[in-house]
Amino acid sequence: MTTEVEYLDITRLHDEELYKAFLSRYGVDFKACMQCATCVSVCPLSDVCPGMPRLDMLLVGLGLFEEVARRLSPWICDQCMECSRHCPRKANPAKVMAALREYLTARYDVTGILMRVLKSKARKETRR
Amino acid sequence: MTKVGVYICTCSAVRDVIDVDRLAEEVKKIEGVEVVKFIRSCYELDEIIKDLQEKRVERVVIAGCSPRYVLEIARERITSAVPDISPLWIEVAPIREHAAWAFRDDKQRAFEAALTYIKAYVARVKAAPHIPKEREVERVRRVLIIGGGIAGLTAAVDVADMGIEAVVVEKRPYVGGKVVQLARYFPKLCPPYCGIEFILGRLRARANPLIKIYTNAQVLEISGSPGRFKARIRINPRYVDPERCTACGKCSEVCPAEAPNEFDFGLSKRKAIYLPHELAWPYAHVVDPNACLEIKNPGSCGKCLEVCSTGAINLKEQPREVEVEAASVIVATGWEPYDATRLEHLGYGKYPGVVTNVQMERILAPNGPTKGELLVPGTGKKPKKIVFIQCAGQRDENHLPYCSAICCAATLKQAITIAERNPDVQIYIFYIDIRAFGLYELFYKEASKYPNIFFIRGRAWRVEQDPATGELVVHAEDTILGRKVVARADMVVLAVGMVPSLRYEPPAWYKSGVGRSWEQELLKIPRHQYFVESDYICFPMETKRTGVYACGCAMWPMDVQTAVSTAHGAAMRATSIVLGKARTEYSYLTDPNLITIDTIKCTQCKRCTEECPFDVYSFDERGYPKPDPLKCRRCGICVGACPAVALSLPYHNTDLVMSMIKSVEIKSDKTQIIVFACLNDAYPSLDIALRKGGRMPPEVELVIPVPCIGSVNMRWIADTLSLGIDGILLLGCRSGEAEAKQQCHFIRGPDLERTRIENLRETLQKMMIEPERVKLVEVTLEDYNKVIDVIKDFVDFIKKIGLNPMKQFAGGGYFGGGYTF
Repeated sequence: MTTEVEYLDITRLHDEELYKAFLSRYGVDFKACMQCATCVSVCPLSDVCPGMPRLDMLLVGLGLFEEVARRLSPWICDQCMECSRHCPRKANPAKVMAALREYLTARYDVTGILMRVLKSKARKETRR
Repeated sequence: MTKVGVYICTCSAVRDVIDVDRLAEEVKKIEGVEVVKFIRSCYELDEIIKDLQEKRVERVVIAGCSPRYVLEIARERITSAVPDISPLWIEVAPIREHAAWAFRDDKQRAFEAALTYIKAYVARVKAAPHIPKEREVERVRRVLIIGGGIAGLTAAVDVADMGIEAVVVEKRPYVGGKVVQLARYFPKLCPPYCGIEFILGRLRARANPLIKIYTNAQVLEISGSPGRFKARIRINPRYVDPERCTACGKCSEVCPAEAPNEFDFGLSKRKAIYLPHELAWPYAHVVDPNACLEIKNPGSCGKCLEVCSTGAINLKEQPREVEVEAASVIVATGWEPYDATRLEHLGYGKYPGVVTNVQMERILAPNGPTKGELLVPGTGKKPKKIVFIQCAGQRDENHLPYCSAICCAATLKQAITIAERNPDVQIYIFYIDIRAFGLYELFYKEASKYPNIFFIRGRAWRVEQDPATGELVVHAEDTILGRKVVARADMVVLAVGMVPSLRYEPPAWYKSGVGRSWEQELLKIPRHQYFVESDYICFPMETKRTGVYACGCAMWPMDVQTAVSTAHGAAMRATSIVLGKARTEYSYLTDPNLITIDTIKCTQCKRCTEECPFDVYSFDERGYPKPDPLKCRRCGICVGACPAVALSLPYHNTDLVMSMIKSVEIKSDKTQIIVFACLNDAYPSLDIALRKGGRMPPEVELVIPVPCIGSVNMRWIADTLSLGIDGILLLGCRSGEAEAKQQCHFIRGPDLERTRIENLRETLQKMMIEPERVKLVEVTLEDYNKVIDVIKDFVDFIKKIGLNPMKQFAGGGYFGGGYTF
């Protein structure tokens, strides 16, 4: 059908499996997002990636993980936590951004090496 | 010869500017003034009362501060002490505000102004008629309540609690209205039957002999006045005697005829003889005459008659009429869902999977067509995905231009109910704004945290069916993403709005009225949309008909708790007609200020009946307008409207106003202005402005308070100009009859006055007077920083035009001035 090309089919693109996995791991609090865009206003990187992290919250909330994967924001997020501090509904956007990076890392990391590096003890120590 | 006493207040505000001793000397020279005394404050009334009791004076003018502060108190205290005096024989001349403060830089002008005001009020008090302090009104101890929904029943219980009889007229065969059709209340998610059971407990006949309920009934006509309305009620046959019916249900079992069940909004069928619902009150069966075979065709069926063991069924019952007298009426007619078949683009009626939110309530209700199980109508399958479409018709000029207030919370409630009962069903809510006002915001947050409830901000504009899969496809634009989206669902719920029942079925009583029927008024005022109300912020329960009060969704779309609150309010107002004063803006039930008609002057032009905002007028047997003083709110709009100046209110009429104006000394070399100010807004605004240090232009001679700017008659204006006054400024409230920003408490005073001034132009031109000498300016109470400038601008403008050519006739006895009155 032509509609699928033109329109974003939010029910077909809803990745139920991933969405449920995401919920079971990170809870439902992020769904309280009401798209007020306080997070975008306070995010120092929203000039680089417009709509960050509000749009990511929306897309994850709808379970549209394919759409999120196209975005730059999960990769550049600094985890400065400004968004979570200011979120009026305590939806914790920074946590979602971290979760997204984790998911995307796993998604593109076919061999699993990168994941190991990321999670390695040595790296954690160097960050400190 | 009436003896007038003038009591000059010598408080420092007055004394600092005005030489009161010289003023007293001058006042003594006024014709009719017998006593001039000084009082230390305007509230020092003992001296006045003594003089009145000892018959030294008959009428009183207190020269002091604004009448707004003193007048009512002085009238109340003096008439209590001296019972035979008319309250209108006591007046207050505002020499503090309008003389001492208005001209505080110019002592000579202040002195002159004080004298002018005292002269004007002495003239006014001499012209004032005698009225009693109160008058007796006959009141029936009964309140009529139209509509037996949650609001009507709550009002009935309240009224009965105050020991007053309540008569409820309900058009359906059971009470409870729309509430009993709901699955749950938001935000507590509790069953509506629970609250209804409490009310029913209080209603049951033996427990409450003061409440009488007519079901299957409708009000045909309401006549009479507040205190004693007469309502004609038709009681349609139920065909079952509720006192004998045991609701055993055998008749329904044998009945062969079926009809769509309106209780389930057409989602199921019921028999022609049926019990409306489980908690129906009266708890008895009812026969649908349109479906019953025996009624349509006698002798063809009659099975129910055979099985009924108590002989309760009588299929030959006829409608009957009763007449009820009631002191006041409460309109609790409620709402109907918007007709979704008009929403063709959303597929209602085309696809069985598209339902309205009220139908969804029935689907979720345990006594609904599916016993509370979530099934798609038509297919009977369990849905996987459901789309809710908010604002299905609301906020849309083509359908309902207003927000229906409850649909957002109702949808959240339905979504939560579905989500918690069916965790595998995905719910998509398309909205423009989620209007979860007040604490409902917490409910919204709770709903948004359900994993299977999704919110999409965008107005769904089209629903179609995918021919391949049979799914319903909802088209919209996600305004947050800025992309067009589609959602596929098995079921679509349209959140249709509330429409007042009065719009779908305007009842007969609604169409009554001589000048402007209620229905006609609502058609002309788009803001109202057939909702019943008048001044919806300050006096929400009051309607435009005195003695008729509104509550529930007849006022505006509201949730159950607001409906119950307004019902308490309406019951309070309705019982005040029986027990209390029943105040309206300027009147109350026992108000002695009665409008009178001079039938010698009256030309039967019917202007008064057209312009009266409160439907006060009917016609007597000779065709003269006949006012109903109990409905009248003393706005005086008819006094202002009458082209023949035949109408007068005791406290506002031609004699009073013209005597004040005529007392002004016409000066041939000086510009003179008279200001009429609305008593409720412009006059207090001026008081505040002068207190704050505003300086009145010296050209202003008099500021005359009037109950509404629409009560200023054009004949007064023409005559004032012909006397030689150079300009007349009218300060009224903000107009805009058809809009929400209108401020006039009498709905259209400034609008009417503007039209009249427009019509006066020609007359003035014939009199060789520039029509621009009359101007209406809209001033609200908060404009006290601007009102002096408004007057100054007008004075400057009049100075540019020049002196009134009529001045040379010195008192204008020629062109109507002294002639008419």
